[in-house]
Amino acid sequence: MHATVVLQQRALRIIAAEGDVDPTPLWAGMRSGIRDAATIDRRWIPASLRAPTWPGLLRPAVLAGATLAVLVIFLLAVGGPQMVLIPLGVESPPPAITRQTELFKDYPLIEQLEALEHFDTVESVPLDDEQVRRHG
Amino acid sequence: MRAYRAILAFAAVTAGAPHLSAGFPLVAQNWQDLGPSERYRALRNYQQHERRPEEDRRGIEQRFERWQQMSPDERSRIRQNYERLQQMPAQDRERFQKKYEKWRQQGGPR
Repeated sequence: MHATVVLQQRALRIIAAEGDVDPTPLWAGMRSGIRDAATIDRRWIPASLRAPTWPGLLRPAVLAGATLAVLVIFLLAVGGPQMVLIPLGVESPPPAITRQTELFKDYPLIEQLEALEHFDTVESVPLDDEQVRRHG
Repeated sequence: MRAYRAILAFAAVTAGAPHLSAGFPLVAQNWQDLGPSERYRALRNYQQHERRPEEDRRGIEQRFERWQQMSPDERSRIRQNYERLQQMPAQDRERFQKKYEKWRQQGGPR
């Protein structure tokens, strides 16, 4: 193809040198032909036979890196691999949890047990700012 | 691939689940009965418990013993109060905590 283009360029230069021929549409036609040939060539070559390009080679590596980064961020956010493996049943929980599962399941409630038992009484206790508002 | 799916499912469950189950289970549960999100929260609570001073831990364990001795009706009432507290805006929950501290200073339960 390169040889053909060189031949056509030489022919065009000879024609252009004659003077009474306008070479502009001929140059444009040749450029368009080269463009089309390049497009057709790439389209008809099977993907498996095309020369690997850098973006094509990098894509799997970028995907793998991004997946790994997401996994690491997730594991850090939940508190480490054990925080995933134990709830999924892959690893055994600490014996204290199996002994007192109810305590650790309802921990926020047990923590505030006294306040929750006397919820309405506690709610009726006026705070200093409420007393100021009432009296002032 | 299965492990990856399990991790994704676990992340989805732990992200939006409430602190306690919506129902009022009145029987003691064991670890095997819990779902992954409940296990995750129990594990977090256990870690929090382990980081506390021994005196605090003993206090919580005493409260838990008292909880276990309560009648189902009393437990249900306390769970409802817990749900009420959870539904309050953060500012009101903070005020409730202050009121509780004041109530305790004034003598607490008599």
